[in-house]
Amino acid sequence: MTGRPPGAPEPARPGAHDLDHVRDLARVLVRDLDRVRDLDSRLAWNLDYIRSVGDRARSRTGDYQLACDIDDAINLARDLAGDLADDDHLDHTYNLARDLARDLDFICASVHSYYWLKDNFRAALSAAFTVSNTIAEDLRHRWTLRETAVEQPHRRPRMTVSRVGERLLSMELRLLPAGHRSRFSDEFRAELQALAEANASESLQVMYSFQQIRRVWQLRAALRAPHRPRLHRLHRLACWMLASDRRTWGTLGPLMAFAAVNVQVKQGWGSAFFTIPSVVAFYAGVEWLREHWNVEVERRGRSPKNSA
Amino acid sequence: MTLPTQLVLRALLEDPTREMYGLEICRAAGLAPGTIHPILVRFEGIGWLESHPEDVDPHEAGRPRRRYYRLTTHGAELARDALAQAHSRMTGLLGLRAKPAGGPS
Repeated sequence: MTGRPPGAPEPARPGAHDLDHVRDLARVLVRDLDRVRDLDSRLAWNLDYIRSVGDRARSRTGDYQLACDIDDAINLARDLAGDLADDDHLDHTYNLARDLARDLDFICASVHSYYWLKDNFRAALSAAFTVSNTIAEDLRHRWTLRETAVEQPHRRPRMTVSRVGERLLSMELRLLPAGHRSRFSDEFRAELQALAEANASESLQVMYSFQQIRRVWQLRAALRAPHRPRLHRLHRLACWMLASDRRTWGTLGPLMAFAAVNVQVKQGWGSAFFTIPSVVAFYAGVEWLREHWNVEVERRGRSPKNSA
Repeated sequence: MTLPTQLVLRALLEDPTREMYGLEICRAAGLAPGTIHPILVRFEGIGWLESHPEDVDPHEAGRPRRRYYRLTTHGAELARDALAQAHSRMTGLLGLRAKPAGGPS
């Protein structure tokens, strides 16, 4: 049986509200169970009877048994409402709520054999069961959350931050600009600790530090000049090279000549012939880069006529 | 724009209002830890990202403060444009640009 009975407060999410919401639910439950009595005169009479005779009524069966069960449920609901006054014994309160939900579930299942009970009586019991189940579920969540929070400090000692990882990070921090060290010290150590808390092995933590240190020059460059592109210096060097035919072909020419001679010596003229397309490709590549990067070429010793 | 940079931006753009610290961004972007910090610093330097240290007492928390990153409003717009541009450039390079239906072949 699931669903919220009409008029009952919406179930609380654990941690979203305090225990007041559950207390409200418990009060609603006690009120509803008390009203169940008024829905059936025969049950009301039986309830009055078993309350007057006390434990002697327990041995009776049939109608009296149902009255006893309902009376027990009402008492349990009152205990639950009383227990919720303080939230120190959440486990005990949860057990009460669970017992009550189980009892009401049993009563709901058994009332089908009492043909004289009206539908509104059965519906009221069903609604009471739903409320009790909601309370039990809510308390279970809260109890689990509290247990997890209590266990947390015990888990801490098991978490070990790798010393090697920390030393690697210290080395890295020395390579960073002085003004940024404290920031990254906190940031990297917090991340290393997060790994340790996630039970990452020591080797994984060392790997984390190693990966950080591997990119320290990039981080340093980014900290010094965040506006510049990542390969700014390499780009500048390449532009400087491309700006002069002498520098470009003075570097690439011997390399290509060496490659061609090497191929000819090792594989013969036939293979050396195939290096020509590579030379053409290099030339086209250099011209494409000059155009792409807007590099103006210094053509020394050439008149505009010659270059045209 | 490099592929790691695009991955970092995609991870941050999944929920631009969400603040994430370094390891979370690594996980979301699928990158190694060392890769993302230079990227984050650059974006922070040009105003696309903002960062702040975690609001906890390190002694009580038992660990140093994490640094949380989030895209600025302006940064989120620029990041979306930059990713769209990178995507169109990539599809253009690969010749995957869809031809208009019914247009000349």
